Amino acid sequence: MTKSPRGKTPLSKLWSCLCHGRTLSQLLFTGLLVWIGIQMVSHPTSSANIERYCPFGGMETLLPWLKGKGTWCSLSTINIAMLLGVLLITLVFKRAFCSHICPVGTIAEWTAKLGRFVPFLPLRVPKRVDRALKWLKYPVLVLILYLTYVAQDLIFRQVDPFYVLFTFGKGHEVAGFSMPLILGIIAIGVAIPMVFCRYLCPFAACLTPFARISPVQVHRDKSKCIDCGACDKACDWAIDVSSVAKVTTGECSLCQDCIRKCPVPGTLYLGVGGPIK
Amino acid sequence: MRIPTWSVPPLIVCCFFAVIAVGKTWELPTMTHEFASTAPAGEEKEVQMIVEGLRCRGTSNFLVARLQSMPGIRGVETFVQEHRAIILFDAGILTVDQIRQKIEEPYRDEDGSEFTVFTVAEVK
Repeated sequence: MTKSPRGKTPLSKLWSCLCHGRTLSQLLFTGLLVWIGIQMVSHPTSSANIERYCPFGGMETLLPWLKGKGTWCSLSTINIAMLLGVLLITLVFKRAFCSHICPVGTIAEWTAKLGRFVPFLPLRVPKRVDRALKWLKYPVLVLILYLTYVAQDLIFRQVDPFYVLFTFGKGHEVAGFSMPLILGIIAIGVAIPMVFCRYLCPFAACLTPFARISPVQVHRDKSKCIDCGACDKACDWAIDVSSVAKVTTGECSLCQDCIRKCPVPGTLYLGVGGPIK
Repeated sequence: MRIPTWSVPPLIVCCFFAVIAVGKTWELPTMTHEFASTAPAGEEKEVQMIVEGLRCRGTSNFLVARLQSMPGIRGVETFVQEHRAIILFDAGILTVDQIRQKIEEPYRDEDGSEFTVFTVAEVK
C-alpha cells in the first residue's frame, strides 16, 4: 500500500480519523437523524419527526412562543432548549455545533473532502468576493424568520437542506425541485467547500455573532511556525490561519483540522484567550 | 491556557444531549385556548388525554375547533411532543366519555368519504 508523505497509509489515516471524537460525534448525530427520518417516512403517523430535533426550529418559533402564541407546526420546547444550548456551546466553543453535530455541516464537510481527490479542486473564492458572500446569510435569516412569523408555518421546508435530506425528499410539503436543488448546492460544495454553510445557512448567521466573542480559539505559536500554509489548505472554511496569532473570526467551527494537519507539533493549539483581538 | 484537543467533542456531545433532555422534561404547551367567560353550571374539571394524531399546530387547531363547538368545554391546552391534550370542562354539562367521542368522531370529506383523525389512546 502506498504511503503518504507523512508516513501514513490511507487505511491508517481513515482509522485515525474514525478514532477522532469529532468524526464519531458526526456519525452519531447523522446516524440518529437518518434513523428518525426513516421512522418518519415509513410510519407517517408515528411520533418520529426530524423537525423536533432542529435548533433552528427553536429560532423560528422563539418569537411567537415569547409572545404567548405557542409554537409553530410540530416544533416544541425541545427546539427552544436546543437553540439555547447551541447558543451556549457557541459562546464557549465557537461554531463547534457546525463541525460536531449539524448533519448538514457533516454532509457538506464530507463533500468538501471528496473535492480534495479531484485535480484543481477545491477552488479558492477571491477574498473580497468571499467576504461579500458571507453577508448573504444574514438577509436569508431575516427573510426566513419574518415570512415564517407572518405565515405562522414553516414555509421554507421545500428548500431546507436538513428537512429535505433527512426525509429523503418525501417529507410533508417537499416539492419535486427540492431534492435536485439541495443536491445541486451540495455538489457545488465539492468545488467550493462548505458553500451552503459559509454563505447561505441562516443558523450560521445566528451563531456567528456569538462565536465572535468565544474565548476558546486556535492559537498559533509564531516562533515555531514554518509558514508552510498547511493550515490554510486544511481549512474548509477558508480561514487564513497562517496569518493570525489567534483565530478570532466567528466563522471558525473549531474542527481542529488545521491543528491536525500542522507538520510542526505544538505550533497550533487550542487555547483560551481574549475574545476579540 | 491550552485545552486538550480531545476534550472538545465529548463536552459538546454531552451538552447537546443534556439540553435535549431538558427540553423533553419540561414541555410547554403548543397552544392554549380558554373559551368560557361565564361561571360553570357544575364543577369545573380537567382531563388529560393522549391523542394519537395530535402532532402539530395544524392538528392542534383542528382539535380545538372540534371541541370549541361543544357546549361545556372551557379550555384546551395541547402538547404535540407527547400528543397530550388537557381539557377543562364543565362537569355539570359534559362527561369525559362525551369529550372522547367528540374527539374520535370521524372527519367527513367533501366527497362524503370518512376517515379517523384522532384516536384517544389514554385518559388520565
